[in-house]
Amino acid sequence: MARIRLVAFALAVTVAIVALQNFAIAAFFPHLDRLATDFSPAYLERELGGLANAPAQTIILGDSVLWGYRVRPAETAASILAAQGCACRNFSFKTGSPPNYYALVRLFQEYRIRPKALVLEVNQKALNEADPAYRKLHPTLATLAAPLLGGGDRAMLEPPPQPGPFERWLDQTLSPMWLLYAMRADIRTTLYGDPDAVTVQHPTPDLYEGTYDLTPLTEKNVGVHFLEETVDYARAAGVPVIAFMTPTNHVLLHEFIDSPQYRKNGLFLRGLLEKRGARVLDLDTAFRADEFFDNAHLRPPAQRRLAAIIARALARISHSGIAFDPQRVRFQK
Amino acid sequence: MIVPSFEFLAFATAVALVLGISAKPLWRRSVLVAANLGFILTFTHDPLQLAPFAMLLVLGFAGVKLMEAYKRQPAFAVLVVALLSAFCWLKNYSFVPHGLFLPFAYLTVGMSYVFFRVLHLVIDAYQESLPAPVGVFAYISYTLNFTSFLAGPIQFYKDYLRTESQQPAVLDEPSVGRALERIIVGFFKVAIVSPLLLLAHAACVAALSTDAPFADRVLHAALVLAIFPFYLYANFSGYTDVVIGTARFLRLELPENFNHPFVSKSFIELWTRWHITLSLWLRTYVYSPLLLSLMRRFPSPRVEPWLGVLVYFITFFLIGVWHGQTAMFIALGLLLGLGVGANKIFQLSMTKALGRARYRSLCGNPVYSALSCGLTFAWLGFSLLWFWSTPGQLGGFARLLGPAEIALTFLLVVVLAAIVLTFGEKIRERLRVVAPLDSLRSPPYLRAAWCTTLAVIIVSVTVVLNAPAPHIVYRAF
Repeated sequence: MARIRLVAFALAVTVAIVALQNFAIAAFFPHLDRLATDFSPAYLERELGGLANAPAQTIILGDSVLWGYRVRPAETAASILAAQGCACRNFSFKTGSPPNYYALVRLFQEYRIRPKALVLEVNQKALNEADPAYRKLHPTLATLAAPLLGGGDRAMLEPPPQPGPFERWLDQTLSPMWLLYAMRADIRTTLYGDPDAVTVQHPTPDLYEGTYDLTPLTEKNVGVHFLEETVDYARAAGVPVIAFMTPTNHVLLHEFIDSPQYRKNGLFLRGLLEKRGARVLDLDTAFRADEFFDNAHLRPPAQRRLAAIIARALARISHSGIAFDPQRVRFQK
Repeated sequence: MIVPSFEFLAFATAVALVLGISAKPLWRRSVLVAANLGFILTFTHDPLQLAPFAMLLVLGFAGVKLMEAYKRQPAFAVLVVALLSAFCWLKNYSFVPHGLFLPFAYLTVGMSYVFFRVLHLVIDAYQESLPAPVGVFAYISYTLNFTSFLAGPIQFYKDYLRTESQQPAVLDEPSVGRALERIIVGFFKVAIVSPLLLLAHAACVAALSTDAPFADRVLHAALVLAIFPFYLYANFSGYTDVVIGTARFLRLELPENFNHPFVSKSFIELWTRWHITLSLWLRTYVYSPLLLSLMRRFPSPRVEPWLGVLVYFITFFLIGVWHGQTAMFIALGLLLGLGVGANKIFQLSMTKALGRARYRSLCGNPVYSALSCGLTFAWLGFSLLWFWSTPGQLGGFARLLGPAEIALTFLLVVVLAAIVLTFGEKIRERLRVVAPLDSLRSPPYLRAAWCTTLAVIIVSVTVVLNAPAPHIVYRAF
């Protein structure tokens, strides 16, 4: 009997510590400037829940370019906009792509979040079938948003990789009751930062062979399909959409992209998005080669310039109340 | 398999369950031998990578059998030299010509500790001190004991035999509780305390720069010197706690390796409290025989104390050299030897100058005692500089600080350690009276709460870090 009481006591202590941890994480875990690479369903749900109860904000959706690959969180265009007073949230992540944008938009709808505006990054690279994110949802979005997608949409996507049975059992058992376990990846990123991919000091064109596909884009392209759906959903909710073509390093990628088909694909996308009511900024050639780390990832000064361009575009949406000073990005709240 | 890790605990649990089927000596030995071999196979399956280790074991076993049958001094000497040479060769000591090294990667993990056990068996077989002839299964069970394979503790054969097959340790409720506590506390030391101390140490090393003001520089240098011994202690004693606790579940009793080393009042005392089993081994097989042989050769009572100093120096020089294969460890050995040698000379001189009674009374003085404690700690920290740094780093520190600042840093560590360690010990003694967490007399609920809290912290940190199991410094030796 005494032994059982002791075991019960130890269990009670465990429950008390876990409850304390849950409270501490819920109360004090920060809203990250950008999502962790393997952001968790628990963190995303927490962010969406917070966003639903907050005044409408501009939502930024993109891939590693907007996420800020190889720059610090505070140096990304989204963080610069936020620091200047723009009420905006960056939901970009390293493997962002149109199917993921759409999944996020569906989640916004589910949480009754009506963004003030939607800023979309359109990267031709992600519309290439060879791209890893072409038809793949981030595991967290696959968990949370896949049930919200229609059967046709789901059929176009690759099923997410399944964890082993033990890991799945552990996740399903522990995540609902232990926030530290559920948000372990986000906590790790907060403590140690997000490890970037291997640094390429002097990128050479051969590294990008096959990255850009010059097959003529059509509405059958999975990326194009989800891009359309994303914009349609936003416009149906009355949310203004600003889409911009990802800045691309034409000097580095000259042999792959400086061709009529690439330009044709760009025009196709522009026409498609404008037809659906999005305001399109073509930034494909707007940045010099020395403003890039590699094919598309921008250095800190270029991130600042991108922030200024987005700010200008947002300012043109009359209801945003933003006044842009080209000398210094500034916003009126 | 890394020790300590959750995999290791799972493995040990499985072995404990199988061992529990029968208490018959044959069953216990068979299961332990199978477990030892299974444990080693987790490092590599490649027979080529296991071959050198197996060769050392075979050489050792042949040596034991030879000494059991043929006790001749020349054969014994040749055998010891052969074993030592094989060990130095396989461990790639820098004084061995590089052309002789084996041209492929092979298992060396745990080799030092296995070597100590093998040499002990050979020497004891020669001296007829073994309780019984060593059979091949007993040999494998003892030398490859998986609970202490990686980094000790080094157990003598007859002590191992006692709980292995003759009289397994009792596994009742209190001993299970204590073993569990030991594992949790050990894991906490290795997985939480030691990485934090290592981070702090790295931060202090990084903060040492010429740009820093004088006071900051000396303070950081003092912290660099002072943090590492604590890190090493948390790391190694944590590992030892885990393996001693784990072995208890197999009804094996492993010897203690640490006994509050930082309360030592002299460098000689320190080695009776730090890595105790290694010190004991060297005292048994190096210090005592060497001293005895020198005393026989120089039988003058006036020389005798100085022979003790010399033998202390040699023994501790060997401890330093054992730690690594490079010249840095020769310097470490010299510093350790110098520490114990100077300590012995000081004791002799003080006894001569003050007389035994007055010297004992001086040792009982709290200020003297605290300063002795501080000096012992500071010398350990200083010696360990040669343990963790590279020659380049060491040169950088010397250039950065200069002789005056180095002396000041050392003095600061002596004073700070004297204060911190003395008060720390006083607090620990008080806590033992108020809440004796490491005593069976403490309330079980308090102990349960303490251990559960530590366990939850370990699991939480492990979950968040998602890192490989913690690194054990002594695994490399």
